[in-house]
Amino acid sequence: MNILETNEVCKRYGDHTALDSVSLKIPEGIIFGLLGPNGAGKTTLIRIINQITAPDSGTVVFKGHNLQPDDIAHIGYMPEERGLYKKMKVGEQAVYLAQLKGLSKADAKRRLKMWFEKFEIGEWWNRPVEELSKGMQQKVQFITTVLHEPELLIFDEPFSGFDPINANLLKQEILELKKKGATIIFSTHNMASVEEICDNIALINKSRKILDGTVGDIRQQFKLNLFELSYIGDAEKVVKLLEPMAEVKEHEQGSINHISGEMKPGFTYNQLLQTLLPEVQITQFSDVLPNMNDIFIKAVQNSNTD
Amino acid sequence: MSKIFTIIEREYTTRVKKKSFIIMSLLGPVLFAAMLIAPGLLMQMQDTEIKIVQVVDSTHVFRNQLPETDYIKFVYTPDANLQQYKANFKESGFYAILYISHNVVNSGNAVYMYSDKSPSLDLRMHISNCIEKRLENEKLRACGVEPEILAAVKTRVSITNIKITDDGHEERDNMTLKMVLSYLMGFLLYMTIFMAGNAVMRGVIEEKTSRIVEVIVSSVKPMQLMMGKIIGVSLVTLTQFALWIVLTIGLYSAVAPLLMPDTAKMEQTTQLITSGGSQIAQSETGTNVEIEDIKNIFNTFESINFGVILMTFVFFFLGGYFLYSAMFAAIGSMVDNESDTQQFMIPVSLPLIIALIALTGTISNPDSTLNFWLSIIPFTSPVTMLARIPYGVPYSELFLSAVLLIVTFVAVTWVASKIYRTGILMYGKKATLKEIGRWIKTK
Repeated sequence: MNILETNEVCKRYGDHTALDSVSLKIPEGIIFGLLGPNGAGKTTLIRIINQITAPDSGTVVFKGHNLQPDDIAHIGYMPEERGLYKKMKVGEQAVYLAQLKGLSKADAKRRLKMWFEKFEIGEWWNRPVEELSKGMQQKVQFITTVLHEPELLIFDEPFSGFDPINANLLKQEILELKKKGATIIFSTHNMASVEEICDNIALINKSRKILDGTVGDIRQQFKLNLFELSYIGDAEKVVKLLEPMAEVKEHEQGSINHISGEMKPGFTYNQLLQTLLPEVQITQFSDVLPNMNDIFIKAVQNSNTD
Repeated sequence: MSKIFTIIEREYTTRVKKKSFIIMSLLGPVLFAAMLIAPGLLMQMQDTEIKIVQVVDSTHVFRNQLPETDYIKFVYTPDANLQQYKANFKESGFYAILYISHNVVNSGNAVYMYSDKSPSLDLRMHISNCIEKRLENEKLRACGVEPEILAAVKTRVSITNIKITDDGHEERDNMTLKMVLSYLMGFLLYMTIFMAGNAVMRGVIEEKTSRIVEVIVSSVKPMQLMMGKIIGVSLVTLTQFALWIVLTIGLYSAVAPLLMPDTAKMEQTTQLITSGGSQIAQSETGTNVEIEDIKNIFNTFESINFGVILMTFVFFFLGGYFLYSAMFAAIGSMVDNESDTQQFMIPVSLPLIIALIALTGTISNPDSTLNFWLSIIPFTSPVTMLARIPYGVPYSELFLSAVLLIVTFVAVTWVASKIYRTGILMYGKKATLKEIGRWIKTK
């Protein structure tokens, strides 16, 4: 079942089209990467899902019904542009933000105590936010985002401003939330983290969705028939055998030889392996899939030249 | 709906807990009470030292003629040997030597005072007044006018305003008191609308620059956030007023009797005056007029309906404040920092400034056509209407003004919330008027 669907969502600001018929399906319980260059329309789409702005046309369906004001109680949002009241005390502020999400004061306090202990910031409860380090402020921000245990979580560039240790902590928490059954929409430029934690992605460029699917499918879709081969045997012979069916790009020789190459059109890995097996001892063969970074760049470039 | 209360609560409590609020709430009453007590206190602190002045009068016109007071006494010397008296001044123990030369009849600059201290203004005024009066009488007598005739022709005129009220009742009026009250009310309203409106604007800018606003509007509607802030700040201002009134009265009644033990006596006198004790005064025609004045002030105080004033004050404060703070909130949402607000603030607050400039005219001529319109037009009406209130305003005008204010405030808030909603999420670029027009139009 899809927790969230957007159907043909359009949004215009004056002459500028921010979103052009964007349709997405986000299955329940996954981590969904919303990717795209700056100004592509990601934040606009996220704001529409959070009902901060309304779409000009198109619908957003949340858990089977059209998105309603009450649904915000089930959505947690950590915007890219985020901050806290500097002069307000940490605890008071966290309780306030939780109350705005519909939690009672007592409930909010009880849950906050737990989270503050977990993140080891309990002693900061009565201090004004401005005395906290940036990393600690980010922790508070994260806590206030997840405190009301939303079913759908939206993180816009969550790792910006986090040091590597805290970024890792945040990643672990996001995976933990997924394990507990939450669905997570994750907007980022950090492609390494996309490969690591996202199940599905959608790529938006110039206000249009240009690509979506599971991370595995997309990598298959963009694969260039690149392979890596390790073997023990006569290198010259191997090069000669490979010539009709593949192009050797790199050839590293030693006690074990390594080749990285690209298949020529019309040939399969099986044919290649059948040719080589009688001649050399193959220690390793693998298909090389493109990484998300390459796919991102390629897809964006393709859509720009269209 | 409960969310807007959460917002109001936060806006209210964070401001009330601020040091600046507490200091203002305590300092205000001290100032007001000081303003109430100071004049009385100063009167009491009059010089009580008895000053004996030696009069060396070479004209002989003033011998035994200068009236003495409780604290100023005169000793007349038989001859005009100034040099000798000056030489003996130290041993004589007099406060000063007053030397009146022959020329005094022709020239005002012929009176000298010798002393080792600087004589007080009081003393100098007293002496110069007495000499002037004496000379005047002497000169008139030389022309054949007797002082008795002079006293008989002198009449002091003071106009007693009697206002015919709607139910045909007659009420005594004191214009000065009303003018002071009127000016104070108009000015106070101007100040508070500006200060509270600015507080709202700063709050909006704070939320925008600290980037918390996007988190909040993902939980509540921007309209709720804006209204919550506006209502919260209005409650803070009303709390401050209430504290000022209560603390000022408390402080005044606690401190006044200590500093001025005579007030109790004064109150008795005024009671006597107001309860028709005028027969006592009638014997002395001179003081009668002054007593009439005092009576007038008390009558006016009684005739002013402070209940109506307080109610209209609260209503027009809230109306004017809501109107302007909605606009100020919209301005706050359009900019990234406070220094950018100026270009928008000036055109928006112009009507309020006009009302303030017109205020001096309003208090002297409250029912003129200009002031009528200023008190009807919603952007100026809070200040001008409040200034007119002490003089009495027909209920029909009050009603019209109030209704227009409410209608305008609803319309302005609607437009302002449209600007606010888009503005708070715009970072880094300044909005042009064309863009703002588009923000208002988008649904």
